[in-house]
Amino acid sequence: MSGSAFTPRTYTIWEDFRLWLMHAGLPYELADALMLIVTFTVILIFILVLVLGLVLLERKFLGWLQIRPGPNRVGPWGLLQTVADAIKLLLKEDIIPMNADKPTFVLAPIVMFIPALLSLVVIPLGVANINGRYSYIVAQDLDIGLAYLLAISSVGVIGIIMGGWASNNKYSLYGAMRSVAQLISYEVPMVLALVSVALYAGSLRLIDIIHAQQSIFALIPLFPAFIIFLIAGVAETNRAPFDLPEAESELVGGFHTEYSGMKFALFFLAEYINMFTVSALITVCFLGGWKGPAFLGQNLLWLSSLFWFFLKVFFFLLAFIWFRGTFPRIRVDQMMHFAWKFLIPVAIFQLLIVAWGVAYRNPIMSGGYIPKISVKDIWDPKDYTGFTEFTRTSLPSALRMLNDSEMVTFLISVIGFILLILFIGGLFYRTLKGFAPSKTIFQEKP
Amino acid sequence: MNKVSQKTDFSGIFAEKLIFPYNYDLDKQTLKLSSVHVGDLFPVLKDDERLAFDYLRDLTAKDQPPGTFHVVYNFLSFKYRHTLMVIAQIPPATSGELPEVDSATPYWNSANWLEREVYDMFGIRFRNHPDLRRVFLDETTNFYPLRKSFYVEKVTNVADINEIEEAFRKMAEEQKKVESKMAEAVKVETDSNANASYQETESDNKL
Amino acid sequence: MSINKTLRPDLWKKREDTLWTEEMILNMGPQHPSTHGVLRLELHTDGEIVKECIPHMGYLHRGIEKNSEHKEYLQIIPLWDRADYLSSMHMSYLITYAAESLMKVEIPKRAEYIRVMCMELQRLASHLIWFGTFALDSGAITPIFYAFRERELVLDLLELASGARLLYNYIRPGGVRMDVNREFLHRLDKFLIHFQDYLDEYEELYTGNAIFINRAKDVGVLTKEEAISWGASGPVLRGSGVKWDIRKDEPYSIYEEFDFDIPVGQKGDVLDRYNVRFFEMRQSHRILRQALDGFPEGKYTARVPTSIKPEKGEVYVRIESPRGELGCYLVSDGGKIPYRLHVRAPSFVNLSALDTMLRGHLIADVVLILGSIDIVVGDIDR
Repeated sequence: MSGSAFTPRTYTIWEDFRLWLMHAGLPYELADALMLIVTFTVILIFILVLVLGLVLLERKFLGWLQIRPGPNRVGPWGLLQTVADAIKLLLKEDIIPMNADKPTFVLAPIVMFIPALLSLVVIPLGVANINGRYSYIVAQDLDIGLAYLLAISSVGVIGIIMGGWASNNKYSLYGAMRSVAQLISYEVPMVLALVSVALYAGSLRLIDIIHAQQSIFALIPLFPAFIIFLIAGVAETNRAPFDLPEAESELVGGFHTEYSGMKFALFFLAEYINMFTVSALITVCFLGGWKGPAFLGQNLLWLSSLFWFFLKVFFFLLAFIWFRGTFPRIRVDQMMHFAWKFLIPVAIFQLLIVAWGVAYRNPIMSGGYIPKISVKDIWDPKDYTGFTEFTRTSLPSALRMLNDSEMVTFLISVIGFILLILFIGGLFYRTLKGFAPSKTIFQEKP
Repeated sequence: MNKVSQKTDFSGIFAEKLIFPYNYDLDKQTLKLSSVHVGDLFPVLKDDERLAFDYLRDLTAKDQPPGTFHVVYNFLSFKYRHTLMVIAQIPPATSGELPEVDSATPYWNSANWLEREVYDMFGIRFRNHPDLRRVFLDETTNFYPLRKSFYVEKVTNVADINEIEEAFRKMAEEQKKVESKMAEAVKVETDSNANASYQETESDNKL
Repeated sequence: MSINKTLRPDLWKKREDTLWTEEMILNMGPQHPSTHGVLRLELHTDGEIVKECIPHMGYLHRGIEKNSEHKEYLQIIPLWDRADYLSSMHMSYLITYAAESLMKVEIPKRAEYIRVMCMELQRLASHLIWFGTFALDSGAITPIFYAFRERELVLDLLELASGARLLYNYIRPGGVRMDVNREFLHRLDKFLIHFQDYLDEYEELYTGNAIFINRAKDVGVLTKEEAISWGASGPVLRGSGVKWDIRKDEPYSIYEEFDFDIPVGQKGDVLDRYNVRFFEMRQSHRILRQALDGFPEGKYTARVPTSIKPEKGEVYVRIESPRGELGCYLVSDGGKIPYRLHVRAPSFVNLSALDTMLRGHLIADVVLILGSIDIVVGDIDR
């Protein structure tokens, strides 16, 4: 968005690394190559450690939910359990079914794994303060980061279809068909929810979205979008209660029934990376990414920002695991009805609300950046130059800029927000009240 | 015998409705007849307002004495909560053929699988059964294990499919041998009194 | 784009040759996590919709009926324990009951109390394992651990009484094999105090879940008429709205002395069968409490010879097992071994109604409906 108050160029710590190498006397080409290699290696190691930790976390947390200790034999507190599992999967015999479509069968896990890996490229993990200048901990800061993420995450489904088709197994085919239906359906509300976020922040760049949440997290003004994105994110990652493509009790594992060894491990890795990506995306879009008190001072800003980022991501990862431990599986037709008849209308409604808020200079609905002239002036052709200048102000001064009609819409949005909070509180109360039908429904009077 | 707390006397209804020989025992709530007539009995049991047996709770068979088959039905009426046991004796078939009875499946769906089980285990065919296949055993086997003529002395562990087929074939052969011996014995008995309707045998009188 | 069949027969022919639809046959089982054993369902499906279901059984057929014709009564009981291995107390009692019906023997009251207590505990254990596996079928992986926690307490109690945890061989003609001790009564009392709270916990965890209710409601409907015609029994029959419980309507043992209700569903769908089972657990709790309060002193078994000889005759007895009407047709020729022993397996007869229940439903529902019937393959195949 031209003319906005955002910085046009951001620096990543990798570029700082390259600069440091060049200061040390290396030619540009060599420094660039070294930077790429180091970036790639660090990301790979990061992913492996992340997935190993995540699997262990899932098993331990599920164990605690299910009144059992979880893995506790390999290493202290079972810490090495996933390492042992990884080694086992690497050494396992790689079986390809007799009548399988061999090239497709081999290609499928790769097609699923690579996009999952690529999606990590644009996610900003934190910020570092290097010599008074901010450098971001992100592999590549793309202007269209959000669009890139959505595009990349849709590629993974092709891997699922390929795996399901090539396995020559009816259960796998059912799983693949289900996953196609599911991913296509849930892409729509997910994108609509993210469009609300982009409208709110005024940018598709993830770092800009984080900066737009300087004063207030997008979670609060965009609460419905947050819920929609959370649900659609669970569905996108094929996790319970939306684990229909790999439903163990119905389809015996679905699309990866026939996979073993390293190929299965790739599917497994991809699932957990996707889980992390979705959690990170929720954190970036709705919880202000790394934003939080810099309690370690400006020199150690990178540490505190990473701390806040991973704290928020960790919360959502735990929520995913919690869902898995709690919910029964939803049925395939109910899942489609839920997406098309509930999530998408609500997402469109949310989008309209945000558009309304942006148009009427609602300071809560536009991330603190509001246009200097009101919508009435924009419509007046003699004042409007085709160029809207944005200003960044605090809430009170932003409110002072509003005219009367804009003030009324602002108050309406505040009232609507309070009603929403009451409604959600009521739902929580109903859930927590307790429920025992066999005590009441069939009870006869003696 | 039929263990019940509630005893209802059906003898009047049976005398009115049934036009074939039968033997009704009130104390045991048991009706005995020849299997030739069960096709006429079922509509009476199901549709008569005073009987209204809408629930076939069990269907099985026995061969007592060996070679003489009975089909045993157990009925229940949810309307009146009374029960009835029907024992239908199958007249001896010509040797080599499977004995035949009218199926109860058109009247009670639950007879479907129970009759298949009886067919599987006793080799009694049910006329008008919609889907008479073996339930438990393989479709290719041709022996009927719950008949008294079937007795396996030694159980051998066989893993090879050919060995299994060979064992099955042997079992069937042995059963055929025993049955042909039995049929000769029965023939001597029935020649003197060749009648298709229900005959009280010696063993029944003692029950 | 539609092709005009009369104007372009060549294109139509090409389309028919290259694109066609047909029913797909999906073999669910015998190695499938949700068929509860080695049962094979041949599903004819159109997409995910089930058009027809043909169950294939016999993978676990052990010929127990034939075996029973060659063994004495005391040897038969442990054999039948293995038929319905989740309610082997009921199986032992069934054979015992059939043999006792042909004998003149006075069963001591204390023995009958122990039998009822053991059978009701067994019903609790069976229903708990059903709850866990049913939840697992629906995709919820947690409830099974909670259900097994309480099942463990029940098994501990049965172990105290009989010395075994799964296949008891405890109830036998004349009474029971050995007396229960004070510890058993004390622990049973403690268990009964807490059990209602456990049930409340399950229901709060699982029953109220909107996803579960949406999945179970109006699924696998078996109307009253269909249930009666297909010979359904137990919770399946009661879920369809027929008020029939053999414990109440054709009382055996000493069930007349206890006060309990019969739960009845309205629609006959999966949710009704689920609720009926939960209510039954609460009723079993009531029976157990009454039995414990009125537990008499006396002998635990009558004087019965080791190898019994029932009188010549035939009898059909039935009891209410956790799965439904468990019937036994016993023909005795007055000898030490039965002449013919047939068991009417509730799982077998209930399963025959499966096709009626799941036509037009989705593959995901097959698993749920099968779970709601609560089959045990050992009981089906015998």
